[in-house]
Amino acid sequence: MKNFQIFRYLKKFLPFIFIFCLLATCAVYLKLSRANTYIASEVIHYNDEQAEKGLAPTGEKLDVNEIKSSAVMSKVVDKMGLTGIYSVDSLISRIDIYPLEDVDKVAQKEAKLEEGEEYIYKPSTFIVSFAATSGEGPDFARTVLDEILDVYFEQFSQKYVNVAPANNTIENLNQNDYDFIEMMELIDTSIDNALATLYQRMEQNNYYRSTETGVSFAELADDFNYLRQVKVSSLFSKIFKYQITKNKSILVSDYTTRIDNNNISNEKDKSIVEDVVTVIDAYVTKMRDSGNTNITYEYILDNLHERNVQDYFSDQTVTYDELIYSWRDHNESKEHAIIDSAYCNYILNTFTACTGYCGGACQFSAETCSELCNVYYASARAEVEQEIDSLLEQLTSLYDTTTKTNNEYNKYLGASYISVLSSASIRESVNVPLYTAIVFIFLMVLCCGSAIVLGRVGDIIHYIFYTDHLTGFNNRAYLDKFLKGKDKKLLDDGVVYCMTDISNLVHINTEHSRDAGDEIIKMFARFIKEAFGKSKTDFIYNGNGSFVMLTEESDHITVEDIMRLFRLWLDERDEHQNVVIEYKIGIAETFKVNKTARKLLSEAIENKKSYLSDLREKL
Amino acid sequence: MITDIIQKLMLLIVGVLFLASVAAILLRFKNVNRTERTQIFKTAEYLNAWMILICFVTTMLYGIVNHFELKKSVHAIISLNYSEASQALNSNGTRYNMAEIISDEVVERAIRKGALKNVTTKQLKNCLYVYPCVQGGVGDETQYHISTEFAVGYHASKDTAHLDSENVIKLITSAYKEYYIEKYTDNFSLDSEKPDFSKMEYMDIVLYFDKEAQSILNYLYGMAGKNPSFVTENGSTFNSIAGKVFDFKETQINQNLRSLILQNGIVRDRDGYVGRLSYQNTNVDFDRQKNHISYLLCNQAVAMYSEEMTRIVLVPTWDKSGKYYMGRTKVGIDELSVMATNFSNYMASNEKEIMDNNLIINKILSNHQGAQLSASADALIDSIYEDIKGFEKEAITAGREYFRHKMNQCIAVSIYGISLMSELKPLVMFAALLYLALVLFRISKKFPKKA
Repeated sequence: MKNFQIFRYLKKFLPFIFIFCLLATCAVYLKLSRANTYIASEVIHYNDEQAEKGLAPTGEKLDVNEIKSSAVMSKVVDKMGLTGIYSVDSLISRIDIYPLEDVDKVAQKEAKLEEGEEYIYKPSTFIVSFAATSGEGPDFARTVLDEILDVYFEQFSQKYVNVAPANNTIENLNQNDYDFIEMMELIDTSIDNALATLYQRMEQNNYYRSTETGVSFAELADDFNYLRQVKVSSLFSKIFKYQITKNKSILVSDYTTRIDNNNISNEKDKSIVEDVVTVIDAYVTKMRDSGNTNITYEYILDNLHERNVQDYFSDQTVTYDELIYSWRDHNESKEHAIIDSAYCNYILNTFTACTGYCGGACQFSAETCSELCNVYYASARAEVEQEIDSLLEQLTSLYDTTTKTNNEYNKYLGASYISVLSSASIRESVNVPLYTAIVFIFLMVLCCGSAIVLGRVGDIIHYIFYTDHLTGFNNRAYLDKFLKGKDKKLLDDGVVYCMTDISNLVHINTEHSRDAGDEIIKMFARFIKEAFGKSKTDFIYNGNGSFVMLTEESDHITVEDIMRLFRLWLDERDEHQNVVIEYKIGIAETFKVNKTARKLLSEAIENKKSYLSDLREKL
Repeated sequence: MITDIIQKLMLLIVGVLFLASVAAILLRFKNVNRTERTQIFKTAEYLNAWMILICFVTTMLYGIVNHFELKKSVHAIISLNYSEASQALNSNGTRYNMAEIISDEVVERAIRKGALKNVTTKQLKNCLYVYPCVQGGVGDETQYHISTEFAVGYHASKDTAHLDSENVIKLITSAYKEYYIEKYTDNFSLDSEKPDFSKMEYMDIVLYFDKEAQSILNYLYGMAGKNPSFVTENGSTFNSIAGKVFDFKETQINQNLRSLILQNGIVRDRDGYVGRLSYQNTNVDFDRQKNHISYLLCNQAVAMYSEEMTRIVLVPTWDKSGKYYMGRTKVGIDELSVMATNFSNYMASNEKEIMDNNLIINKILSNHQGAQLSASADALIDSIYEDIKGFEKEAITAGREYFRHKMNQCIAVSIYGISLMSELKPLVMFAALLYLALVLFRISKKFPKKA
């Protein structure tokens, strides 16, 4: 069997291996490229110091997962016009949020915990990522992530910082069949609420000015105040002056009920106030009796040293204060209710008052005195209706401006409470070039290993099926296979086929025994192999003393010379000198005329010449 | 579109020629033996005048077509030059979003600005893309990066082939600059429409002027807060303009105009206005009563505090060195006293309002205005209105000047067309491929069709 030579196997298959690996790598590259996703990531940091305790600015628990809430995503889908194309859930599933812990803080926490001290630390820096498929591209990933964070920043501010919105509660108020005075009261309350919110904003940031609306909160408050002072009071005064109402009976009933309710509320508050006073007295007496009122500050300080308390954030309002506040609040509520009742009486008096022109008919009528006898009533009512419509229009526009200003303020606050440490960067989920290179190398190694295994298996098969064990040459089956393989191919120039037959092998076998015949064959094989030396030749033992030598990259003369050398060695042999060997040699070469293997072999057979090697005289 | 087809057709022809030649050689490979094959390749004419000529002419043609194709693509770099950009913020402190560069609003504005015809916002937007020139990473802190330069690219499609690429990108960047300045830099303006003063009560006009003047003052104080030492080209500062407006407000509006109207009882609808003030007084009086009762209750609550319970109003606390001491803290009586003071202030304010209103009512009722006084009040009103508009203009001009200075032209744009290298690279590759295809074609011809 042939020697185990790795390079021989590789040399044979290397071009195929290379091409296969190249194609397979291309296929893998395409597959990876298609399956690859683009991940846009941004690093955000919560600036508020409460964030490191896991709390939002309002003291609520800070939940970073709100970034991927459906409230945020649905707004993103809406903003980007993706409704109907992507479901909110499918986009949410592509968002990832990774906390980035501060190494120093973590070490500090661990050290404190080891000492048995309480230490709260939560990461306040996060990587927010969004993945897009290869079909959607990197730009999509970046754009969606940008929009997500835009919406989240605004929502964070709305929820945790700028919590009180100035809502427009009076839109289309004139379409709800309210009475005029009720409409005006609702408008007045709404303006009151808006002003309270605006004053709150002014306290936070007096000079904040929206770039979109061009106004500040102070200017909005001035506008609301102006409308209230000029339009609202003018309307109130007209309504009172002309007793303008849609239904006097309902109005009177309504304000009478308010008075009744106030009276009931007064009774309740009065009872509570009495109870609170009793509790206060009992509390003071008990504190006095127990000696708590005589505690000195030295006693408290000593206590404190023992406890080593550093953080003390809980509410320090004492029970006694709470009791006093309660007393004040209930008393205030009671007294304000009395004033409210006075206001209601004022309204009732205004609308039930008789000007005298109706002759007292209004007292028993469902209409007000002005309605009955004032000729200007109808025009005044129309004017009031028109002015209310105009006022609502102006207020709605003002509320819109307030909302826009507030929205921008929310974005501003969101960006000041959460900062971006690194803007959106894109990376591929799989490093395609790297993985492709790895695949190529892996395939090459795998294929080369397979080639070595297959080559060696081929050697074994060749040895078993295509090797003549007597001579070590290829056998007849190999020649058949070879000829079949060359059937449709043209032989190259310089191919020389040579045939050598031992003509009297049967005679040798008969006369000198079969062993002698085999020895002669072995000797022939040895001489042939030695004579051809390093030439590129396939040696075949065709059986019955017939040898075929298929030489490439040679010529007729060279092979003739080789065979002459062979004959010389045969004639000078030291063994089997008593055996007369008759043999034939036929040589054929391709040259200029293209020939097939079978034809060349036939020509070699035809060209056979007989030779005789008789050394008996030397004995 | 035609250039695109010609370019692709030329590439296709060369590609087909190359593949056909390779295929012919492979198919006829077995018709010759190795020696002949070697001979064919050895004797092939690799340098042939005709081939060079054909190659040269075709490459030139391809170069022309390629030039027109390349002209369809152009990109611009947008740099954010203001200080907040390095924190990924817009100049108004909101979060910066790169996608806005090619947002619908910007593209629409560009189409309007350039009066581009036969193109929709969507079609144009599909040809645009934007990306940061440098992007960081999130691996560790050293990779963090805030992008402040963005490339916006345009590649014409068949819907936009009729547009000049460079013009489109100029329009987009210009529209974005406008959009950005409009949306993210401070803007300020008062009511653009002049109110109909003849339908307004004189005292309401005073309020209106006061409100408008206060708006200008707020704007100027806000700007002065940002940069108190900024001096405009006219040598004014925000504070100096604010001082002028304040003096004008106090003198012309609150003294001259208000006094003229008040002292002469000038009114358009005497009954209506007096009724309104009376209503206000009634209403404010209810508030005053509430404030008064709250004030009294706070005082009573303070008085209720037992002496023994207020003795210890010290709470344990610690100083900077960590040492404990007893610090005085606010307790109920402190809170209630502050509240009582506040209610007292509110009450005083209510009383003042009532007194002001009563003064106006008295003046109106005791005076009989003449037409001459009304005319002089109207003239003063017109004059004040013009002056306020003048101050508004001055404030806006100063504000714009400041932003121009501060933001260093907040957004800088550079447009990049076709570079020589980008033209030459495909040309060289095409020439090489064509020449190789021609050589292979000639070689394939030397292979016999039959063995």
